[in-house]
Amino acid sequence: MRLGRFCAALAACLPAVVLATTTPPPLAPEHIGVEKLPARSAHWAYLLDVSWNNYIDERVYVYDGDAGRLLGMMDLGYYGNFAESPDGKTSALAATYWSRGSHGTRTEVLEWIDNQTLKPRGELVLPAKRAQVGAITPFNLAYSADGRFLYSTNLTPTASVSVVDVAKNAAVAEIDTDGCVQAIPSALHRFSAICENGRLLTVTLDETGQEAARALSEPFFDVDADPVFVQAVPTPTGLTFISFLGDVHAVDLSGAAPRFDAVWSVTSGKDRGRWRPGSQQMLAFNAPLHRLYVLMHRGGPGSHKDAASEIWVFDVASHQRVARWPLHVAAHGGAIAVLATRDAQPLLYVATEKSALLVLDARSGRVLHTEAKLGQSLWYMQNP
Amino acid sequence: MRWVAALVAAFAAAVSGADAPQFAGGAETFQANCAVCHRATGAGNPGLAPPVILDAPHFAETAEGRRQLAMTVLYGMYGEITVGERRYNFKMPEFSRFEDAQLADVLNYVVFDLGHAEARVAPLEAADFARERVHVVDGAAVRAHRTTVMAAKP
Repeated sequence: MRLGRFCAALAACLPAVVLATTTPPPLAPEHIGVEKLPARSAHWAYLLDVSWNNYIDERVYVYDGDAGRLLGMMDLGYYGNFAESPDGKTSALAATYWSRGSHGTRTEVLEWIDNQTLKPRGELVLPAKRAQVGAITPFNLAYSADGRFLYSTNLTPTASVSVVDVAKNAAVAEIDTDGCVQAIPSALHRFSAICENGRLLTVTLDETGQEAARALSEPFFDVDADPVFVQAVPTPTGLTFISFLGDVHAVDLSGAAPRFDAVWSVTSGKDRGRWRPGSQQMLAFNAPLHRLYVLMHRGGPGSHKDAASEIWVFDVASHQRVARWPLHVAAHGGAIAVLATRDAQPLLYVATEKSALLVLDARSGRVLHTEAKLGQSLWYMQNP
Repeated sequence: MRWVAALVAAFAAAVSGADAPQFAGGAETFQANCAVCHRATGAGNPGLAPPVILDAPHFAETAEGRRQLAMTVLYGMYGEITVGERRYNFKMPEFSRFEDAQLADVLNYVVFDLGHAEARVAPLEAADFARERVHVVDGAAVRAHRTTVMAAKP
């Protein structure tokens, strides 16, 4: 019995002993607040995660490619469109929300995000016909060059563009684009849209945001023979499209009317029709190096959404391929999006099917940083 | 719903020049169900949905043309067609869930308010749709019938 009492006393003491030896020192008090982002770098990128398995929860990540560090995040709702103001101070996010998450009352809202804190600082409710687009481009939601207007595309599927006066926080006009889609900004207050017959519709606005003039270009590609991807890449004077077979259509929007450069191709000989551009954001451009980066895969007709196994690098002056960079598909999946930073020592961001993010030296193709998995489905990336 | 009615009235006034559409119920049905593809004026959406104001007024002048109108809304249409100068190749959905009288009303809005058919043309009636419900066809057959109607056009 004496031994039994001793054991019972020991058992009673044990928890206290264990607690006394494992309780950590008190935590330092936490100060809850919102950090401000540091001064931006040319090597940052916005990464759009479409959240494929739960589409109502899209996000935009802010990422520092030099540090290999996620800096912050913005909510993008359902099928959101994203644009940054020309002064870099504001992000505009146009998205769909339902009052009960995935059901209930539908609201289309344009949110203005403070780019220092990534907090919403205002909003504008839009008509329930905003374009919800799977093929994400910079032209679903785009600022005018001076930041005065924001062009928000609609598709019901009837196509139009809502013109938002940013200072007034009001939609001041809706421009019927006659079946032509996107709003590719140019000049001061002008945008172009791609038409079903291979033409560009260009609409010029007056000082109040109303339509002042419109003009239709000649066809610049053959819709039936070899259509272009709508995911064009912006260039200093306009934008560059690529066709399903790999023909490059550079468009200069700096003049009074669109000017179409001579078409050249990234494929020739036995490669043509066997190697094709594809996936989501298949083009990247860097002006200082004159480089066009193309996501390429081996495939036949109808494979235009297939992920890439290689990145082909072209000099846009000579039209010569200067590099061919195979990707580690077994490890990361094929590439679905590519983005070059705008500076003269550029980084190349590559997002893959497994939502890996690779940061490459855009001159050599050397992998500088790898995120094995960032978010869920990185389909689109944009320069700050 | 008042703003919907106001919108419909505004559209109708804009396209017809009149204060109110002749077929107001049809106008409301059209704007709520058809305008998303065919646009509020019925002028169509290039590359997607053809204009409804070009052929419908002429279809309403003949027996087979009126059958074509009824079949199109009851069973949809599938396959390539040419309207005006443009080609379209899509699948129009069917609208058989609507009552016959409602379908007559919306087509009369298309034929008379949007398409400005001549006064001698008789409005469509619910019976035109009831007859077509007996002979169920698919969208490809509706397109084939359209081809024969177009071939018979004077």
